[in-house]
Amino acid sequence: MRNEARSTPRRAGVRVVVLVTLLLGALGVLFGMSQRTLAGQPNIILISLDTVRADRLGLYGAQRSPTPNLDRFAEEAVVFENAYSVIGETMFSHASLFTSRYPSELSTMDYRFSLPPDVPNLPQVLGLYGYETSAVTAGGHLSDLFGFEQGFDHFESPRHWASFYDVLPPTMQWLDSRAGRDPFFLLLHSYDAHARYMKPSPYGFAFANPEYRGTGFFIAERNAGVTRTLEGRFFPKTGLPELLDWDEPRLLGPANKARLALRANDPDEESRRVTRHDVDFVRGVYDGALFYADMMFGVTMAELDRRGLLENSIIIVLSDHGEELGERGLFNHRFSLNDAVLKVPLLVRMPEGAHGGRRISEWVSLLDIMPTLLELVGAELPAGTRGKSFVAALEGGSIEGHEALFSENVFRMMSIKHRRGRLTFSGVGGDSPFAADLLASARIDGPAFELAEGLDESSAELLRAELEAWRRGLPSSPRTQREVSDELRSVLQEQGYWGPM
Amino acid sequence: MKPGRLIVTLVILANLVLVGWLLVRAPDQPIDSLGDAVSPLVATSTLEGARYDLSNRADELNVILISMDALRYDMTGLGGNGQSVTPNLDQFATESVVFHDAVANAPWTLPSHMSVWTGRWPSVHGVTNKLRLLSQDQMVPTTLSPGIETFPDYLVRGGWKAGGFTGGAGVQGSYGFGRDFDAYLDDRYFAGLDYSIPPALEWLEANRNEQFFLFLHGYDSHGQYPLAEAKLDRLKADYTGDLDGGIEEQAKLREDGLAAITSPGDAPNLEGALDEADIGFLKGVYAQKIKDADERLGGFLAQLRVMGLLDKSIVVIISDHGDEFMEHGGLDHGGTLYQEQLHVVMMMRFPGYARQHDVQESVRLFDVFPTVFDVMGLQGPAGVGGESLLPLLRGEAHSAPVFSESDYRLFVNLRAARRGSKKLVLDLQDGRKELYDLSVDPLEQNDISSADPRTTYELEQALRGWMDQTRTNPEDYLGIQQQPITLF
Repeated sequence: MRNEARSTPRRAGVRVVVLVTLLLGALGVLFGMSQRTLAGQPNIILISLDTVRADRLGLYGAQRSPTPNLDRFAEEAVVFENAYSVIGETMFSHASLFTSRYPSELSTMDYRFSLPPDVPNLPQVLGLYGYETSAVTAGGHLSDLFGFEQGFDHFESPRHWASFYDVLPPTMQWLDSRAGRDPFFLLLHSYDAHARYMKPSPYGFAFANPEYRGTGFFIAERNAGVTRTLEGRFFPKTGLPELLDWDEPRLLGPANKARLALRANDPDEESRRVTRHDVDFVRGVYDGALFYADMMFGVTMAELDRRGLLENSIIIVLSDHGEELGERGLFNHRFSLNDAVLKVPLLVRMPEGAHGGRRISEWVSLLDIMPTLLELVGAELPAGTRGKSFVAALEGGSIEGHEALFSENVFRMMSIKHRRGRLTFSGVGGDSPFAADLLASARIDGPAFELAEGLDESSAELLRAELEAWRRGLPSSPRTQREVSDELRSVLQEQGYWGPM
Repeated sequence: MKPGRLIVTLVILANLVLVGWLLVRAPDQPIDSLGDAVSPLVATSTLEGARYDLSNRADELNVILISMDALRYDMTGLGGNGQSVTPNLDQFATESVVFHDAVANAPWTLPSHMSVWTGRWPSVHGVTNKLRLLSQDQMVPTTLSPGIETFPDYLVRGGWKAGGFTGGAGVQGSYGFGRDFDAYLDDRYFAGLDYSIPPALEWLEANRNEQFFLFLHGYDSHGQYPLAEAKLDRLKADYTGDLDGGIEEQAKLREDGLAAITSPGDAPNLEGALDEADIGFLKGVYAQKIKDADERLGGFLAQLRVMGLLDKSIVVIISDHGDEFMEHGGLDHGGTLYQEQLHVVMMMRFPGYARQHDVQESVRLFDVFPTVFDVMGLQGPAGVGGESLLPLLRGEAHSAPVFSESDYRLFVNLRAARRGSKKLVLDLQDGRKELYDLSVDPLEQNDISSADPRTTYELEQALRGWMDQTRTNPEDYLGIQQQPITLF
């Protein structure tokens, strides 16, 4: 071969050199143009673990940690010790996460909700800046039924109410089959920690007594609705679907309030006593669910590592909301605005684990994710976003967190968390005995419907004013509204979110 | 070396240099940003020593603001138009700072002038129409809120003599223009400089030894200003069509064009009604009006020179908006935000710095007063949107968002944003977006919003962010379908 090459006439050699350099030049120009903003851009992998309450994890100080993989991940990530959601429900929380706006700014606050097409969302904007965008979600509240496919080049929900077990294979398949060299944005989502908690052995009873028999079983295996206790008793039948008339435009309109009252006063309503043992069991089974979710998270990280993606990807792990585990007689996550429901894990692993192990105690919000990521990729932030970028914290600097955090829910409750404490206003009417009792059990006094945890009068006054000012800044009517399809209704019924009609 | 081999070697070398440069340069640095890096250097080198600092003469200098209503920038000789009809304006430019890319805040007289007067965006000063809708069938005349301070207010309060001599209509004192002026002429509807200059000169003669602010304005180029019969006849001699070039006809064509915006389909089709010769004739009438305006301006400027006022005054010449001639389906102005309506004249002559200084960066018309005040070291109203362009004049970095608005006669609700050569027009009523690249498409004929979604997104978000700041809720306009109110 060497000899042959040498014998080639010199002129031809020159021609080859010319051609190659010309080609290089052309390629260089093309490359230089196409990579104008992409060069060196990291991939972004957002892992949303549904219903993971921050204080149950070892990395946030839990004694017997059910999450060894997440705890290890925390050593390579910047850990936000005070990260908050704005609402305790999957679809609204993710909608806020993707748009950096409050849920009531986006759409109707019930199952007519749909992500509005005219509000720029995170995947859509990343797409404009050269990212290939893909989502593999666990369906249900985070599916195309609510418009979440918007902005994604590839959107897949293997089945509704799914586990990591269902979501992981198609994710890896997508990663392995993608041909483009653009950086990608990948959303992964699972319901593993969501009720119903019970997971297969050895996870299910890893943190709960397998010999236990009692009311806790009913609670752990219930889903959706207002799974709650009243005066130390658990009412298995008083789930949200049984209580509410969904055709009424407002969730707690007059008809629904009447139903609530009726149910609470029904002497035939079956109830069960709830003891500390029952609550402990529920917590144990919940930890078992976390244990399972964590195992799947570990597998995910190993798979990403195997593909060499840890070096050039930003990996964000978070939860959309937490879970009430018996505090104030509440379970589930929809009917309260306490830290149990709103304080979530948030970990950001920068490429190659830069600044890993940093702990940020400033208050941040899930609303901050979009501004942060857009700043990292150099994209323009949409108008009307509510969060603020915490990029500095990821790059070794300090940030100024939120002074106050606001939240809301479908029951027209709203809450402010402030250095002085939390204050919650409930839109639930006082004329229903059930509602009144409910509020009482949540230490909400009388007709003021305000919960002021350790607040003196002047602080309560201040927080009330701030909360009102915040509310006034939100639009009075939702941007989009639509009808609920039969398909959507049946998906919701499957998981107990919609009573038999 | 053979010529062939020399060429080959040069090609190889050039390519190696190119590849090397592409590899070496910062990966996230856009190629076109190099232009931005170079231009300030060029500007600075041509401007050495030009500090534009007149603060030591703040208690003696006058300010003369001349507004040529409805004068399109591209009809003047400022942009190098070989057949300029504005020799006097062009001549004055050789002694002035000339802003070649000045953008009107609004495309018609009242809101545009009020933005200059207040330094505020139209939706902030609120004088966006002559009438304000109180209820469905009750309209009241608009006037500037007494709570909003204007730049002339500051001069009046500072003891300056203030005189306004205008063509009335959209700059009538009742809208808030003549507040506390010693004289404000606005008794004619659509009068020209031929009407406003003589009393202005008289007033100058009487006040020349005082420190004064003079506002001179004329509708000479405006569609509602009649061209002299003899001149019209000369233009008609070369034209065989049916148009008469008069102001009644102009009003009718204007309304036909506007009707096409409110009720497309039903409206008389202007596009079909006017052929090239018709449009040429109308533009000829416009050009002649501008020529007349320029002559009158020239006479006035000569008087200033004779009176010795040029050395004692900062003279600012602006136009408030342009005029359209079927570039986008209509005649007149107010109903769209395209360049023929927004690209305006803006120049400033500073005594002591009286030589031509060309500024190519995009500026907003309401930067006029903040700049003049800054140069004189005067304090103006706070919290305004307009900004001093003094840094730009001194070759320093300056960038400010460029937006325009039209809520013309309460039936169009348009917003526009500029960034470099890119321009977005957003219709608040239906959310429709158009994106243009003025560098290759100066007449805005080719909407590239779908071909360039990123720029569309960036400009739209900048626009919406600004609307948040100016407390304009875009949703207030969605789905609005109003009939144009009749004001004339």
